[in-house]
Amino acid sequence: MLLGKLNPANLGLLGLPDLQKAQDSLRALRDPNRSGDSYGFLAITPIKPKRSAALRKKLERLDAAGSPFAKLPRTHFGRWVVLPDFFDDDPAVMAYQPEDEDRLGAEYLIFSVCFDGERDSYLEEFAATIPAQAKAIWSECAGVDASSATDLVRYLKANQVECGQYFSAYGHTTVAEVRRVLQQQIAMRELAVRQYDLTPAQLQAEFVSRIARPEPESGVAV
Amino acid sequence: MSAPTKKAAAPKSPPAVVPTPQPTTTGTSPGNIDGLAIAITVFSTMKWWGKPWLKGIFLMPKLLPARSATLKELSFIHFARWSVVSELADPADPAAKRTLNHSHLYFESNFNGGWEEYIDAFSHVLTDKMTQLWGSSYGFPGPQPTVPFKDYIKRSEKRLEASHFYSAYPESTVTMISQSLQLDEQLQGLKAIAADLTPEEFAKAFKAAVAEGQRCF
Repeated sequence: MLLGKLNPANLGLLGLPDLQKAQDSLRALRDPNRSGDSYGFLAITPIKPKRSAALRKKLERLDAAGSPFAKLPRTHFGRWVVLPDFFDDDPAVMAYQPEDEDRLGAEYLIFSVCFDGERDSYLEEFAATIPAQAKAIWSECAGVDASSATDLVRYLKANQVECGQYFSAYGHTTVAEVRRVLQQQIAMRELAVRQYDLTPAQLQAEFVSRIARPEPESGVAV
Repeated sequence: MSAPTKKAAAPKSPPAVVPTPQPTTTGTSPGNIDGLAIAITVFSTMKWWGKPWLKGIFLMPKLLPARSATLKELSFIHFARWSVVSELADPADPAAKRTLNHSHLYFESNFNGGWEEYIDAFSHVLTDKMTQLWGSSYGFPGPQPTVPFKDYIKRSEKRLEASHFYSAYPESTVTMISQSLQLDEQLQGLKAIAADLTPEEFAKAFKAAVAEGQRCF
């Protein structure tokens, strides 16, 4: 439909300059951690001596308890990874790694998250929404009082690693919007299959209630 | 984390709504999986010239977005990033930074599908881009042939399994999301007038919308 094609993201289809792409490039030049409206945050923090195994266990247990990221509705993807060292004694790696390869002397925690909107408000929400998990995780790291939300946010920002290049396939679509269109797709598919079992009035009523004016999130897994 | 269980609805009568083939997550460690989503985390040590070189490479897509090969060509990447790490907090004095002997290239991706297929696609579709990005890393064998390239990625990745990985929509692929967004655009007009049409007018408009949008189902 023409209205759909007039979306700035699709101007290129009409032979016009892709203004959205140009705007995104300018934003990425100003802040390389941005792709559209999404932000890529990465922080790498030193783990206290001999606490790496305990930290790994805590992080792995999060799977069973449900991810704390799920409580932060702006989060698309998130991960915690333990970096053991840059030096690797695997003979296949030793064959090409430099002689003075970095030996870190400590393990590090990689915290990476892709979310909607601005960095500072997200980190503040993060520290305020899941204080117990945040404290449990970063209390294993050196240089932070993880029981203080303010200190934790300051610490994460101080240890941020800037993106060189950040890519998002749908950087202008929020998590809520992704979920909405996925649910709409499911509803439309179901209605398309059932259309011949319904009267025109029933079909119209279902379309209006489920697709044109749907209730907020119905909890359908997407 | 959840297992990939979702199945597309089966059509029973016309119109033919073709279900999308279901992808699977294979070839990676359990910690890197959430539903259909897979995490890759990789570090590679860079030669001295890698840092200035990559500054230029990272700038190109921002200055010339239309001329740059992008990851959009690979239809299964949700989010990806490259970063150069040249310093880290000093564990002995965490308020201070320690400068590393070498810069290290950090790469992460959030994608769906099989690990092997993912690296194959990287190596075959974005061959030049891979060389630009990893060409300054020690031991990089080149993107092709793919076996040495995969071995290279695996050697780094084996020590970097995610201890926790989360996707907000673990049962959805990039293709499903793209199709859903496209369908949403196509439905804007009908959604705006649906309640104002007679039932018969609506049924006709709905059939047309299904015909137009069924590739997005």
